[in-house]
Amino acid sequence: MKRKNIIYIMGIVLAVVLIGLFSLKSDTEPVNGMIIFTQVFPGTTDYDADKARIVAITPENDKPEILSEGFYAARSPVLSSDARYILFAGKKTMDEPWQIWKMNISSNETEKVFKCKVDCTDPAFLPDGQILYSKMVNVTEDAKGFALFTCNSDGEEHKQITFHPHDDLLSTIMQDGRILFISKQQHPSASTPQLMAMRPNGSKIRLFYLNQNNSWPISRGKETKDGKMVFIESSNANEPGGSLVSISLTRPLHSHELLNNDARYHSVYPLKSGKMIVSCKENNAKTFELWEFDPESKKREKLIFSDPDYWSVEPIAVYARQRPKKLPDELNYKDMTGRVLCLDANNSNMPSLNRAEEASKGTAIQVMGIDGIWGEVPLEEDGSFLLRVTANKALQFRTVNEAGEVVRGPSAWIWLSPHERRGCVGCHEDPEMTPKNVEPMAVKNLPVEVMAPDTQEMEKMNKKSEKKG
Amino acid sequence: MKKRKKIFLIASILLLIGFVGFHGRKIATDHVQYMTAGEPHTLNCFSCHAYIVRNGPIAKMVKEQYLSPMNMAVSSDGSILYVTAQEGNKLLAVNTTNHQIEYSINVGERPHTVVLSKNGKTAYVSNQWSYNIFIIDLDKRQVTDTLITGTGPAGMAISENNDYLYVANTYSSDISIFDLNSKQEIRRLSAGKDPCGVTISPDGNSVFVSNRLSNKVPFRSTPKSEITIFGTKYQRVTHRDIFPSATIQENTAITPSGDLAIVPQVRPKNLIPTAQVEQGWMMNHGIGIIDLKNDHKKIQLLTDEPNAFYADPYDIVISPDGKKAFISHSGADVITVLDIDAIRNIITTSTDEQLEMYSNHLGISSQFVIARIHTGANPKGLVLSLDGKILYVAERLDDKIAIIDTKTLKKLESIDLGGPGMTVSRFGQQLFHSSGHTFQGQYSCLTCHPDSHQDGLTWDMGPDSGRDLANTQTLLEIDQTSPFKWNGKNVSVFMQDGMRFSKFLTRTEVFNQKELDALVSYILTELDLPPNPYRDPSGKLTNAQQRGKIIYERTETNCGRVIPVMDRCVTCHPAPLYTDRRQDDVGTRKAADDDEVFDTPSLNNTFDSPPYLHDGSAFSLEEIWTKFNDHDEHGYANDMTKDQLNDLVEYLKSLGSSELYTDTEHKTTEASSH
Amino acid sequence: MKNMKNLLPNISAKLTVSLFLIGGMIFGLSWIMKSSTDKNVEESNKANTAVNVETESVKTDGEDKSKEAYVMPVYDNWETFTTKDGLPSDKAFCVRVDGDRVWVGTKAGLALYENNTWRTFTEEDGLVHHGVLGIDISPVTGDVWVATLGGLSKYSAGKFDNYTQFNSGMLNDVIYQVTCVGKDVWMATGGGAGKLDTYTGEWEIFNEQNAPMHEPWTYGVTAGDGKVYIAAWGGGVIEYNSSTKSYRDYVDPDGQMELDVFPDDGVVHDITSGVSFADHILWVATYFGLSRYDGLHWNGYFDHDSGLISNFINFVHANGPAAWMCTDKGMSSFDGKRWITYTKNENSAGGEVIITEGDKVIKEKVATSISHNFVLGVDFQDDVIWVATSKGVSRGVARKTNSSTKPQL
Repeated sequence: MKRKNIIYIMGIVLAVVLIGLFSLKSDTEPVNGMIIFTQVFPGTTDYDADKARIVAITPENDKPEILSEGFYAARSPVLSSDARYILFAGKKTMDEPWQIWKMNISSNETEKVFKCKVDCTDPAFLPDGQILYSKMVNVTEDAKGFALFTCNSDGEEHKQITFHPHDDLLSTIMQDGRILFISKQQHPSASTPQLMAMRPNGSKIRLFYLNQNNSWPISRGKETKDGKMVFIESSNANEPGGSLVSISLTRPLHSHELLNNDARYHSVYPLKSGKMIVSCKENNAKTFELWEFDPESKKREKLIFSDPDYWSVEPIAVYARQRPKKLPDELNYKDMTGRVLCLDANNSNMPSLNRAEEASKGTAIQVMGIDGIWGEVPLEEDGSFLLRVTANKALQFRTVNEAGEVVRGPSAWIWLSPHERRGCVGCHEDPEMTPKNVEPMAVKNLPVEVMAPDTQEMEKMNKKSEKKG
Repeated sequence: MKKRKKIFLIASILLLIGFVGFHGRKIATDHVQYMTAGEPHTLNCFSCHAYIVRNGPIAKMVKEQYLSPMNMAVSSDGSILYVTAQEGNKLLAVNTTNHQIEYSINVGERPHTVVLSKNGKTAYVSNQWSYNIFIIDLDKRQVTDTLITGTGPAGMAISENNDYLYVANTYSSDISIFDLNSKQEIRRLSAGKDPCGVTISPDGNSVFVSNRLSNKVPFRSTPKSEITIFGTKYQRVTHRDIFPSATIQENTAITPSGDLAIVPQVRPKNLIPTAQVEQGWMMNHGIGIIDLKNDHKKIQLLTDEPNAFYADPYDIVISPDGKKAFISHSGADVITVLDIDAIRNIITTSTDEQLEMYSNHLGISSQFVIARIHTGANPKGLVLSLDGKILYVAERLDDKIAIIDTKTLKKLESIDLGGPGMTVSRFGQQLFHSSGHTFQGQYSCLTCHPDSHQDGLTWDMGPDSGRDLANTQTLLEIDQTSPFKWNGKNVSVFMQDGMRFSKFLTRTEVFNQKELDALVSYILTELDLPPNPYRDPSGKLTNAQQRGKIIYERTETNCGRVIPVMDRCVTCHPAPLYTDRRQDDVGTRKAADDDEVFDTPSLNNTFDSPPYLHDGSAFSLEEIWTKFNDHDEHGYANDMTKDQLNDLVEYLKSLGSSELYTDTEHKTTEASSH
Repeated sequence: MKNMKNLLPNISAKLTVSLFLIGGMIFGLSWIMKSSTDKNVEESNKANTAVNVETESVKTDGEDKSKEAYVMPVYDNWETFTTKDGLPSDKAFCVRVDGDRVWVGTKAGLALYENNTWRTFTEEDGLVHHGVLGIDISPVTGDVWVATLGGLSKYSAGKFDNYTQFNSGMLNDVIYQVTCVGKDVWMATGGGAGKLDTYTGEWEIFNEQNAPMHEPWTYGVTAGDGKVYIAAWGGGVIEYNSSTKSYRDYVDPDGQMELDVFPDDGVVHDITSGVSFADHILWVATYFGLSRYDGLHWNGYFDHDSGLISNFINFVHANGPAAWMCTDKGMSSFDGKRWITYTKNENSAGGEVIITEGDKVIKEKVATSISHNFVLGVDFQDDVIWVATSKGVSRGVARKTNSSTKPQL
């Protein structure tokens, strides 16, 4: 073939390659070594955080660069897996409710993800590109609280994913793809905050961690490379900060480890090296500082940053991390019911409310919503039941005996997502129990429908239950 | 002319670019969508036109011969590690000092286990697909004799006096006992289902055989797997110790003091609706313990944790001091280290009620698991050095042997046996055997498909609890038998293992296209049926099989009436696949079935896949017609005499795959020796 | 001529016998109809409570126990076991010795005598059916094979594996006798004889379709010298050569149902109730007398011309050169010369030992005897004999056979 022909061909091929290259979306590289954190005025609590600001320091420049320039207040930053973007809660003016913002770290370009009429806070990147956030809602007719929501990266298609009468805040995404968040019951009474885990579509909600010694989590959990979750725990609501603790991801309920309480810790973030950045305030100090912490020796090793005028909290070390797993969404949003199978309602960790052992065996299960009883279904001989219930509505269970007396319950609040199938070994059973491999009698029949009744039906049920005492 | 050439050249390149870049891409995409019927599949011609081609030049180009080390034995002086290369069909002699392969000996098909004579001069290798044992003179480095066994010889052990060889025959579910002096099989004892591992008690008086699958139990009742124990004096079975709700008991180890026998096991949840994976609702893993000093009391403990599961336990060894046990979790690429005194403490300080509760408690492992050691891909056989200081682990799908320090419980290094580089189907094989693609690593494909076959269990996999019960199907040689799934709704394996698989089975992130291509490639090109012992390699049928074939192909009843075409065996089960690949209602639908029609299964090696029917309700081939064919909808059969039914069954048992694949001819030749 | 004398009484007796047999068949068939579908679940619910003593069973069939001059023992000091002692039923159909253990098949289950106590196995334990008619022990594996009215069970270390006509190649669920021959298990059933190869799981059927039988009904099967002998209802004895796979049938040459016209011309009757082979001799039980075949000559024996206590023989068991005949009137044993018969008194535990040699007869009153005269099974445990009767199981001990104890005639 002549040289000219070859030149022709090469020219065409080159053109094709160039077109291809230009058509590729150009993007920025992550800024490694940068530490992003929030500065708040001393004494302000997390949720008014008046004039809080998000700043950054780098190995080259330890003078904080204000990233949230132009915001009245900004806080709660979270980093994307590729370390290119942060999400944060911000307000441009004092009166504006907290909004969810996204920032390109290298260019400092910010964009409001969506407009929110009430406070929206504590955002997080979901592995599929969606955004998770907490939004103020009415959890009951007379109580407000934060519920978890998701939306697309463009701020469209918002979905509420938690429906219990709790305050759900400070979410983090675990490597297995589930959402871990701090949840505090608001109704019928306030309870100790606990860590709960669920799938990003709001299904399979489960207790993840609950401190038995009257302490509770107060910071986002952060997953370490060695399979632990580190966070801050407090037993004093009136004093900011608390103790730095860790739990094992494989057995969170029984692996609590105190890492350090020689100061008041506010927040923690794992470093690439395996060490951590902590925000803490020594007992005699005036401000929260950023320290490097060694989980091996359980000691703070090096002061990273301190500012006498601001508390430095919520640190983020900017480096790319493995993206958490994208969990599939098996829900069907056209079916607004969910199915719950309990293998033995009499299998419980709860003490029986009836003294006599004979009476302590439940023979029926009552389904209770926030506004009253939805229905009562007899248990099978083996204690199993299979129900189809209204989706996206909070409900509890309690067992009653033949005399109609309550034996155990009510259980913790749960909800079923649309078309969700959920299984329970018992009612408030030991969460570490796995099911016995025995076919439950309840599955021999179709599920019993127990839907949220309208008000009139609910009144009837309430009167009936009052008579039963 | 030249000008025309240039124009032609440029035009054709532009056409090519145009085709790929614009409309042609749509045509190609539509074609891929149609063929895979799965979620949008990236445009990759190799996915179907190279990776899933079983035979032919392309297959030859992309296939590699891997070694796949399976089990090992250490020479009496500790200098040589003998390794069975399961896919390399070799016995490798690895120098434990310089980590080099000193020599290798060609053995039979799919060597499983190697054991050494007490003087260390003779090796016995069980060839699982040749249905025999090779006797190897290690000085001469050659095979000197062959012992014919039952089908699927796997684990072996030699008696203390070196007089007897005990062999577990996995496929024929029995135990061959050979007199090594006369080299004759003197007894064949019945085992449980799929016996695999053979271990002799420290006092030499008893032999323990672990069985992988459950004995037959009533439909939808708890599976019960057996440890078969026989005495060495009279060679009679003395115990059949049963573990409820346990399967895949591959190997057993006994403490040096002889007080406990420990068997790793899978704890399936097949009787419970697969509503979720959380809280261990699909599969658990643990150990079964036989308290030999306490009337063979059985105890079960889980080795999993509430949010972490350790799939596919395979081998177990106990340190010479009896303090530690090591279990290989072949699906999790982990070695779990157990504290045996802690296990004794649990047994002695707990009531029977507590032990019953512990058998399903995910937290109990924290009391006796002292370490989890990560290994290479698919850790299988374990062997300790003579002084117990080193643990050797066969990293089967990496073609390596890991070396673990039993004091520090750290992996020191791996001996590379020099297998070939990674092919697409080998990557698929790793995915198939790994639990990394299920939520919390709860199970791998292999967990329900041991040897890529079936676990013999019926699962509650339907979208509604208690409905559409499904009997696990084999994955062996299914490449020409689409559609898949009992209802035939999955037209391709791409579809079967795509997004639906992720939503309803693995419950975690879907395989990416590279992974899906690799997994499908492995399933469709690498999984062969073992030789059919009921089939003569020449295709010659026995008298009973010949009579059965006539019944299989008959067109008239015993009374001479014409059998409607749809009521004839051959209509829906024509050779060579013995399936018409359609879905039919053959009167086997149950009240719990929402599906109205079921996929016609292939009958190749059907003798080896009980239970039968879509829900596994027929325990034997006979029951298909004696219990589930009242109205002759599943073939016209009610006019048959018992003789005729037996002949038909004999013929069905002979159906194999040798017509399909020339590369499996050697298997039938090997089978003929049996 | 002597047969002609007894013609009239024989006619009425044989009519009664025929009616009994037909009744037996109907009874057997009714069990087939009854057999529950659950029986084919091959799993013992009590598998973990295995009978776990490793014992060496002693199979006596076909064994030449000693080369010295054989002296047929006289059994004495009888002990009886009934439901009061732990048997599931007094109606014992069969007994089989398994080393130190003794298995008994009864109307209500399988019983095991071990360490001086009885243990019962029924459907609850995994046994395929409670009506146990025959038992044999595999000489290869020690597994216990149990023939029942509802199928065949294999008992091995606590686990029952069950074979029925629904779940296997078993030809008929009414199984009268099971015999282990190496790795093969032979069974005599209401639908013919069958063979299960325990290595390959292959079944072979022998009935009127492929073997020289008039009817598929078979009552007994035994083996020896490379041959298998089947007692076939109305078909005499079928001999099957395992190596050549060829058949030979032995029927009554005179073909007479009511009498044996020519003595010693072959098997005495086509309706055979049992066969047993030992010491190269085949013994054939019929409801009309006993036949003995040494490979060349047939000999017939009747209650009126020998020491045989009754022509109605339920079961025959050969042990060395002698055979024990279980009849409706007691039990007789015969070594080719001497007969020893055991009967029980109607109203006491005692009975009679009748020793016959040629025309000489001695009758000895004994304080203990078999528990009932309707005898259905017998087996041996060294010097001990076990006898299954319709009212319990009896165990007798052999007298020392020296000149002083040997009865003089």
